[in-house]
Amino acid sequence: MALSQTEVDQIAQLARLALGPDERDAMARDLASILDHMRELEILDVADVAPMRGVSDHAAPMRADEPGADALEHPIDDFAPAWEQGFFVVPRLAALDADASAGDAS
Amino acid sequence: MSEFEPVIGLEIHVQLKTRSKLFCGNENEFGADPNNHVCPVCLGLPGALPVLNRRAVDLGVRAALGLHCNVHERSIFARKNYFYPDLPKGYQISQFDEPFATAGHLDVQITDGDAPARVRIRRIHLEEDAGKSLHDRVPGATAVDLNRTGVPLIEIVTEPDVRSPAQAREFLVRLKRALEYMDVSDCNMEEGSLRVDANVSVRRPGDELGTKTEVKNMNSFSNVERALVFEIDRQQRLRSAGEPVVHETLLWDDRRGEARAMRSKEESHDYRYFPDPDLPPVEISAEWLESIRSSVPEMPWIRTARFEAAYQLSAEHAEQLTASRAVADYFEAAIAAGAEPGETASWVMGEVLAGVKAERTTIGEFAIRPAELAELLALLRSGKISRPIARQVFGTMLETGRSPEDIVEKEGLVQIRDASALETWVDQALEGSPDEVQRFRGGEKKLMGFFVGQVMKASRGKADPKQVSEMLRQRLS
Amino acid sequence: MTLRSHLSVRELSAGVRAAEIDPAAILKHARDALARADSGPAPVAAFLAVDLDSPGTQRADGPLAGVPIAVKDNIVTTEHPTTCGSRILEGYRSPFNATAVQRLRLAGGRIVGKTNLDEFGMGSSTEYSAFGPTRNPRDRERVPGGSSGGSAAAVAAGIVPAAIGSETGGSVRQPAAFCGVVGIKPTYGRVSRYGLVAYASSLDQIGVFGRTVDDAAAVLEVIAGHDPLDSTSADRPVPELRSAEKGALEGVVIGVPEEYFPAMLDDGVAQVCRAALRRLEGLGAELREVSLPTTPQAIPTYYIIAPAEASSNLARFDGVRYGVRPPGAADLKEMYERTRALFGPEVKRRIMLGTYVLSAGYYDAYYARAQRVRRLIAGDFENVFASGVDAIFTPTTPTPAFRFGERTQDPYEMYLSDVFTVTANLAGIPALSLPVGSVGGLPVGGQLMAGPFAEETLVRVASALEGDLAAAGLAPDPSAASDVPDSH
Repeated sequence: MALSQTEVDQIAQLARLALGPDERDAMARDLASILDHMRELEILDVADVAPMRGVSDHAAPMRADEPGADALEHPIDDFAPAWEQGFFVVPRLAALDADASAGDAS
Repeated sequence: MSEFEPVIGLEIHVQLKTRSKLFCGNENEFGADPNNHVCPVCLGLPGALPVLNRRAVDLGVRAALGLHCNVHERSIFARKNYFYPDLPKGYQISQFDEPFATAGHLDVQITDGDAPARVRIRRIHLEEDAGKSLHDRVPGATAVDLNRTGVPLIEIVTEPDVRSPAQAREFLVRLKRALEYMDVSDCNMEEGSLRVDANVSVRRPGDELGTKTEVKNMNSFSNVERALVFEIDRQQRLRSAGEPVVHETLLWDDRRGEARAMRSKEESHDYRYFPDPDLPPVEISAEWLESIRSSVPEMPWIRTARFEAAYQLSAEHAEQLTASRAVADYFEAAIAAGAEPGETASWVMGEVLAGVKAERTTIGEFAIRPAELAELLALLRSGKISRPIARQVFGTMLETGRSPEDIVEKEGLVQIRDASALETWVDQALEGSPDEVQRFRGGEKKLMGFFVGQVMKASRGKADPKQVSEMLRQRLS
Repeated sequence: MTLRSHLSVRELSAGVRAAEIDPAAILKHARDALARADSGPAPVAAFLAVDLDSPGTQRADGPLAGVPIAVKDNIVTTEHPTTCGSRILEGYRSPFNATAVQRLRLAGGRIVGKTNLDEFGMGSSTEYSAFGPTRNPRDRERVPGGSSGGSAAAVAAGIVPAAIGSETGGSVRQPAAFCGVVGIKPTYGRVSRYGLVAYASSLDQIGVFGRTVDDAAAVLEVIAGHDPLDSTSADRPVPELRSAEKGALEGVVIGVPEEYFPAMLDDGVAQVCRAALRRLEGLGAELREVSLPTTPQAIPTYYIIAPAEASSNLARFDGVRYGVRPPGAADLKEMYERTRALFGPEVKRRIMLGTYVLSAGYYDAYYARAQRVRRLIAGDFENVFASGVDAIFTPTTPTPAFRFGERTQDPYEMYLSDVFTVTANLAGIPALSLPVGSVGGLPVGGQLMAGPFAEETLVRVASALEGDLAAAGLAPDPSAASDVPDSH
């Protein structure tokens, strides 16, 4: 099954991967070939099989609502790529300036 | 009226009142220094894993039960995948196709046209909050504070049952009241512990649902109402002109009074939800559910009806007294201490709430406790003090913290009924105002109030006004 | 004081606890082995970071007292960087330790360094490390396997008696087989994943390498057990994993699945494994033919589920909070893209594949279907173990270690190296690989799989077989690997 360049671009965009022209071609080819092998799954009738989410046979354990988190043995500015006035700093989202009063992400 | 009726669905994010975050032990506290309540888990550090906070489930289930939802024995956390700087893991842990609660409702009173008085709640799910991106903190850049990351939220999603901006507002007021009653959230819109998004469309009555837009960034209930009025009007104009409504996200700009399309989120959404393999299913046993059920308090709508019936209050007074659980509790504590409901209701809605406001406190911390109010009202009821004196004593209680009994005794505020004492003041009043006596006798009967006032003044409010008017009537007849 | 070569983990720690062995002498021994391994034109290069000099701060009284242990570089440690073999985490120092690392340290283990791996555990040869490949100490022209190639090589080269690695689809057992050492992948949930940088969370499990079954078991005993920081961690007691007494396989039923001896299997590997089966029989075990009919679907299932989870797990590497952020991005989108351009080609391929199979319109056809097939695969194993089979024996890999570059052209070809190992991850069951012979001088691994939490059975059967092979003079020569090879 072939993957169109548009599909590859859309997927790359969702994954925030910028692929160069060569990478794009190779990716389209590789994905198509890998996905071909996935057809092996179509020979099984799984309509009545419940999906297996994971292996654990227990319910989610729950902790008591008590403050007390794993401490950071190195300060944040030791590993943060950009840190100013106690904040992580990132370049602005280009489209943001169009949203004069942008709200939260959620 | 447009031929197109509005159809509104609401999505409300509510921060739960827990001590720690949903999946880690950091404090859930508003207003700390930036990036102060963070750890490997909520920073999304490589290798960190989530562990669910039991209290968050507890509060979420309580809210769902209060809103008449079905609470499911088993629910699944899923990952909602998208990139944003304040979303550390690149996904939000939320619930998708198996939320913990579905099919609830909340009744409202505003029924525009044939609108339903019942707003159905489609689902409630648990999820973690994102951090905050501040775009005006560092010049030309975005500053990210992750204190809020991982704070527990419930998202309440209604069916598109709301038919007007006013009804939306009433729903929100009632929802907030219900959540406050259940003590699951601070519900503070300014601090963001309650956030509202609206899905809006218009249609000809009876038609299928029209294309909807999502309106965000409304940080008060009146903003919600204004934004809905704006957006409904915009959609109605478009449709009347035969133009289509575009499915998009709009941001409400309160200053300009308009909602504008949000450019920063226009990139294609595909959240690629899938069950979070780090978290096994959440199980809520029948036993646990029952214990949570017993923690659901009497809900506001039930309390309002009970106040009306049990205390013979007007519908309006019952509604006012039960608008806040703390006020209703205060009222009922005073009744329990022997106060009479009608009198207590007017004192609570009057002096008490005015006092709370003046003292900038909450009714829960108001200096005059319900039992003391009941004591004061008992003095009033027995006739030991007059109403004006009662108000004065209330002020002194608030200032000094002394008991009403003590104030009345020490300051000699007991109502005077002794005929000989009253006689003197009555004489003085009549002798000092010969013209008025003349006019009264000439038929100007409304001057009675003037004479009573003169006597009350002379007695510094302590004379029994009933007895005074009786004596005056005899003397002037 | 010179150390007698190849003391076991339990002998070393007993010696240190009794103050009969100087921990410094153990480190000296490791330094010498490291020097031999990294000498010559084709160094083994098992480590990305190593410190065999400073005495360390671990306790001297635990069950691993003084034992040097190597840790795969996708398991976080505060004292060494954790790179996951990726440019994106170059120089990253975790501010917290993995639970397994904490436990090793508490037991007196000495974490001597971080070992090379395929980037984020994605690969089967360690060729996909951003920091260069590791060579197989048994034949430096060949890959050590992967993704835990560095840990396997460090043990095979005699630098450390034991190491920890991680598995998602065979990343401990396959390199153990290629390097001629023992590798154990415990039951899912047996060892805490807290601090293991996630590749595919529903499949990932920390595993152990040892020169012998007992060395691996001694380390597993320490790191296994419930951890409240991992919601998938199993709250079950951990048994002592002691070697069986000789001839103790009477009454043990060993299942032999035909699907694991297919036509494509390397002849030499097949012969060595069949010989091992006869030895098991000779030890008293009953061999029983069993069937695991969904085996052909295991690789496609795995390569949908693992990349899907990976695409989400690796979203956190966005350059915002940690790791490398290349300079010069004009806006946020560019920052994401420049940062994530640091991923290698195989990681990008799996992120793309995973994003695709989860995306709208494809979820049901791929991801949901794979989850259903996964249940069938797990069901196959349940049926076999429910029928009275104690353990299943198969080859660990279809071929011995391959040469560099042999499988990097066609990604799917590389994926097929995992064909016998991914099933245990999909089913969540414990599995072990031990050297059972060699083909053309290259080690061959035999795999044992057992029911959930039956690590004890694996250790018991494997150590009996190991002892039998050693008695027959067929044990891998521990010194061969650490020799400086002839010039190539």
